Amino acid sequence: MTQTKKPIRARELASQRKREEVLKEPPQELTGDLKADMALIKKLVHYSSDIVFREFALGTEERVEAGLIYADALVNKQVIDQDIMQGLMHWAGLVRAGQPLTRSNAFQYIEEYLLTIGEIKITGQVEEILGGILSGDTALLIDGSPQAYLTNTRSWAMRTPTEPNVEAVIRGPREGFTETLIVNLGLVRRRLKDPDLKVETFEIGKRTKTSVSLLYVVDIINPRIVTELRRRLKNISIDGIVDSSYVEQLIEDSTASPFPQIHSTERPDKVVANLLEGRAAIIVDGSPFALIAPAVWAQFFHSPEDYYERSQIGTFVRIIRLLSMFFSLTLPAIYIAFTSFHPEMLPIPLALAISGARSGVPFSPFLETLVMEIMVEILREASVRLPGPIGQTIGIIGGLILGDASVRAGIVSPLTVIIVAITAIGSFASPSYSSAIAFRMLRFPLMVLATTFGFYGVSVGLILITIHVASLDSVGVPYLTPYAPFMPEGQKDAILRLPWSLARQRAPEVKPQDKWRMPRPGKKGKKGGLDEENG
Amino acid sequence: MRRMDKEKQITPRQITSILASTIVGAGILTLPREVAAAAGSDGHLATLLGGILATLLLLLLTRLGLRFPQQTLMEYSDLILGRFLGKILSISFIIYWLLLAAIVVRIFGEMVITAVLTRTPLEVIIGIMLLLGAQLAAQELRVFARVHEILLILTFPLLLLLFLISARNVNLLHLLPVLAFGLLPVLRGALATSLSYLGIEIITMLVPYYTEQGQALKYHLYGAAVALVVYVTIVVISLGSFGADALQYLQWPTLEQIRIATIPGVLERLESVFIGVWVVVVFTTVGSLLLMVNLSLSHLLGWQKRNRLWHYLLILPMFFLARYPRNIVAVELYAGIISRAGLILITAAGGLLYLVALLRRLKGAGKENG
Repeated sequence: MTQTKKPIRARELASQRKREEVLKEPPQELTGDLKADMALIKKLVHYSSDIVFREFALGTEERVEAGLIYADALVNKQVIDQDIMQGLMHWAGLVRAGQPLTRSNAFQYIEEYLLTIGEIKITGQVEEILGGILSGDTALLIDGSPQAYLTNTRSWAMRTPTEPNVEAVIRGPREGFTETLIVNLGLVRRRLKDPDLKVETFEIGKRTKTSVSLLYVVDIINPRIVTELRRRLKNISIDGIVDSSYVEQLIEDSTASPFPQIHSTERPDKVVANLLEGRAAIIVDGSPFALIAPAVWAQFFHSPEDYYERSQIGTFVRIIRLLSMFFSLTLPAIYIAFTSFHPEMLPIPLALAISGARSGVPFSPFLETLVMEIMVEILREASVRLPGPIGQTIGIIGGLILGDASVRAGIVSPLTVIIVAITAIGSFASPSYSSAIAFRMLRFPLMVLATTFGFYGVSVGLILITIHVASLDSVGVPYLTPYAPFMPEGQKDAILRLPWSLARQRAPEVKPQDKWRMPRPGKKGKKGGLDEENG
Repeated sequence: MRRMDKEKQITPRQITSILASTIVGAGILTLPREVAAAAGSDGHLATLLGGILATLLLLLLTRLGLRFPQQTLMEYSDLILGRFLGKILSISFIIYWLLLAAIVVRIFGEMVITAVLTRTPLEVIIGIMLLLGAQLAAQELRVFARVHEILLILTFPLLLLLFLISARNVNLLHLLPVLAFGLLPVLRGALATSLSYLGIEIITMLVPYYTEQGQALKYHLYGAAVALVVYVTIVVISLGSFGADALQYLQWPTLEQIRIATIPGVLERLESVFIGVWVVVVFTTVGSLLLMVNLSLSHLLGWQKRNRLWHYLLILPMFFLARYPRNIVAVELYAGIISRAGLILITAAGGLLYLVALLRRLKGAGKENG
């Protein structure tokens, strides 16, 4: 508002107002009068400069007026020039089968002989035409016809699939989702060539009209999950969906929880694996993160890599991740409880070492740890915001120099730095960023409890978290399955990752219709292979 | 009948967990001392026998409960004894549970303030524990069951591990001679231990919510077996570490036994860890007791559903009840009285109800679905 105001002439102001005036009740259908229809649509888009209106004429015996409308940035101009304009203006001169193009047969003639485009929709609904234009279709209006063609000319700048940033794996596919729904659906479909893979697409968002696709394998998934997800998606009423996380937050069971109840991933291979487990995936146009529902807590320390490596390695890595998640939640609290309440629990040399390191530190263990933890959180946030190389530099400066300097200055004890560092690293080991954040946050109340009640407080905090997690559901599936309710079959792919030959059933948490991913043992004949060579 | 629409939400495994973690409560602290006083070096046999007696009582309650598969104890006692006597029974159960929960919390608080948090007021410890219990009881039943299940999986192995660490100090000679004074002390000890098995009555309130009632008996026995294993282990280790004579003079033998346990070079004096685990053990018991109180209270007041808020209101009287005993001696005295009264109440009520139901040929509506 600091700009100097220029005097605006009254006439300009009036025309401005006219251009932005909102039609109270726009007509529902086209009239058939080309000039009037073009003017109407022009008015409905408020004379936006990126919508192109082109009028021209065709016809052999008599003059037939036509008009093209498209959004400049969303179309493939080559297609419009070659397959629409050229066809209409150039080839309309040819007389086919003794039929000249006239005003009366123009509409049908064009569809049958002139439009060399695969996907065409015919409609007279103004709203539908507008929607089409705004998603990259080209509307073709013919004078004298109350209907228009919507030809698919969609094409816009898009990223090609690149390696996923957040969920990197050492061994496994390197492709990640992009921001374009069609590309993402293609990435999934290419890996799962099953006619039973069904894609249902919804249009969500009153203004953004975002395409949201629900994917599932019809004969694996439990139909109740599909019904519930469909109902929740249809119930969304919001002006815009900007990212898949909007959908996630609008359909999740409990918004008052720090724990994510729907899994998000940027890996097509993970989506396919989950579809095969009997889960559903939701892909939102404009977001490189697909959603997977229902999600259970155990999934948040699983990574696709567990299945790509040998099963023993998968199990080992899962235990490591579980440990690191536990550390990232409780380690500072345990440290505080030890040093301020229960030093007697440590063997004497260790207790002496700790108190020796802490001597001269002016703050209580709680304050010390709290300050360091907050510092690490600030560092982490800062390094995420900065571009790659600078972010790393900040991490090094923050981590090494600040830590070292604060120990030398005698403000914190070296042990605190170690604890805080392990905690921070532990929270990075979680394959799911969103669940790692939950643990990062819950660490602070635990620290407060530890400094007031020692181990009693830590226990109380952990129990409260357990009650909360147990009370969660994800699309009707208890969040803590397969632990509570306990499912023996589910244990084969929870902390353990058994080889496929032992875990022949799909995960029982989501109650799939088709339980078996491999034939039951003993059903098939003997294995072939080397024996045949010998015989 | 409105009882027909009770939602089936507790799975068989959860029954086991609920039963085991409700039974194992404050008792594990004092049990070794009590059996040592009553049965000397045969304390472990007494514990075993007590467990078997408790299991028999559990069988009776199960039979009774399955006879009325759609109703809780409060509901079928109305049916069997008539509204007036039924109401009296309900009220006495409510009072008993309230007192039991209060005394359990108090014993817990006493131990925490003497063993670890010596400068924290008793009221704070008690208050937090009660709030925690109320938080559990206020959840939906299926969440309640899930919490029991997951906590059992997490804590009982840890508990047994702690006992195993302390097993280094066991001298099995302390368990000898076997049956030195005949069977009578063992019987007396068994009676004393069956007090530790209180909590089995929770099944009478939960049977109508089982998903698979046909399997109830089996999983009830599993639950009792878990408790039995924990108790016998504790008694064997305590007896073996201290001997029956010394054991009688220890205030909290289980705690002492864990206190002298070490993992050489790594951890010493594990009582803080034990208290961390013990918080869970006590908390599940308190939560179960609160739930039972509220379930029966809602029945008494004729409500369709239990009011979740009541759990938090109920902890007020419990808080003052828990504060009432003047010192630890008084606490032990009240604990003895309450648990004896409870044992008599459960046995008498169970036996009486089952007999009258048999004689009057009463059976609950709805069949046991397996």
